[in-house]
Amino acid sequence: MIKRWWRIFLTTAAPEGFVRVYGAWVGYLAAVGAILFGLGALYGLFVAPADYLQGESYRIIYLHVPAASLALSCYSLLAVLGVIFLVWKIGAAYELARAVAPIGLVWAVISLVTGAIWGKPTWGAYWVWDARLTSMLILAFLYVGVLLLQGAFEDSGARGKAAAILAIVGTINLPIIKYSVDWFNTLHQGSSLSVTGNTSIDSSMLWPLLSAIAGAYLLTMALGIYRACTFLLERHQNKRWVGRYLNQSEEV
Amino acid sequence: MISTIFRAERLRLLGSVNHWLTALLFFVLALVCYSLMLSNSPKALSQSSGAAVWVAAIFSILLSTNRLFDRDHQQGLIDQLRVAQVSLTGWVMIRLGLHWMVSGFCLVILSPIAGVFMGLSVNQTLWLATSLLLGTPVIGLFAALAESLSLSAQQSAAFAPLIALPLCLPVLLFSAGMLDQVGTNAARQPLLLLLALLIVSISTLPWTIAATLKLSDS
Repeated sequence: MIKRWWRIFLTTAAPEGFVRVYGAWVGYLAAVGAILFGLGALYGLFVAPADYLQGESYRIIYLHVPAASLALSCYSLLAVLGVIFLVWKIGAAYELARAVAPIGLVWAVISLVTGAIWGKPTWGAYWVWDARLTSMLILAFLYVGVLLLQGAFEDSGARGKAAAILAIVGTINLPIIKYSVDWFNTLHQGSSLSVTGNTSIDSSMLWPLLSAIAGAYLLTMALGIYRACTFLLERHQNKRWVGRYLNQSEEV
Repeated sequence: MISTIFRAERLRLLGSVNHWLTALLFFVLALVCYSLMLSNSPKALSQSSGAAVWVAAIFSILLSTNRLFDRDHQQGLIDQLRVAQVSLTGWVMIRLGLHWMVSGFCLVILSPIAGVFMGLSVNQTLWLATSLLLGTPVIGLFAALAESLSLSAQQSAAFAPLIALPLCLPVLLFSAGMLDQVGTNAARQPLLLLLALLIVSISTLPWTIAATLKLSDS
């Protein structure tokens, strides 16, 4: 059983396998993601109780935390894909990285903007120059660097390699962003969620938040896979399997 | 072999005096302009001089690293080294080491003078110089990595600093932590973190830069 799944997984390294296997998931991922995110956001906005300290303004957490979490995760994914691309020279990994990079940038910008909106009523300032906020801003610039490199080498033989190296080297910033709340004196509140330890958040606020996070992850996966499939089909447009695949999906 | 490369690299530096001297002069001039702008409030100047020295140092290093590998790439030196089976990593280390002597190390020597002129105490300038001593090699390495990454792109010169600056974030954060508590014992911890960063980057980045140069050459 495991062997069979492993073999299917290995076929997804080839462009055709990638498009056929993961392309079929896009609809389901998007549907489940939209339901989870919608439920979490609606429940969080209208049903969950107000915070004892921050009042109603805390409700932006249901967008802010998923966005920040995904901005970090997308960057880690870029680094992992970079390693896969450099070591095994799998083209699908590069196309997926190209698909995910702009999405990560958008999440980073969303988390910065929502953070600024949240900061005004809570801290009295839209922006403060401390470790957490600055490192998140720098993450957005890292995304811009990766996008620049991806764009600069689009038609050369070194396609994607420079961007992959930058994504890997840039991971030195990830632990700093993640733990800046604990390491440095910062205005940003400490982490309320924890995989292992105690979460300092009431379950009536926690569950919608977790649902929104999971939904945002699924939506990002759906969008990333969809974009990667489009890129792959475009790059291999004169291969025979592309025609077969497109005809098949038309019939269905 | 290594002594030959060393001699060639030394000659190259002597031939490009204009280039790295410009970067050092830029450092001095940037600080002069900054002090001039704050000449009416000496207190604000002395409080912010550490940060100003650091920012000027980073820009100066980026300026001197600009087009570090361009000519070697165009003239095929990297190919030659590979054909001659010279360790590209070793060559990168020699090139960057010598480059640091005329960029980062000169800034370390200049910084106490700049600090005293901008109203820091001698003790504070020594802390500042120590942080520069530990931090500038890391920044030089990241700047060189950005150069090698954008080497064969068409608009290379334009966006190499844009790639290098975000990578310097940890250095900046640690030195900002040092400047925050300068002179006290608590300033030692950020310096140790800078040292750790220096050791990690010296042991990994020359190899990464060599690999990137190989990629962009083939």
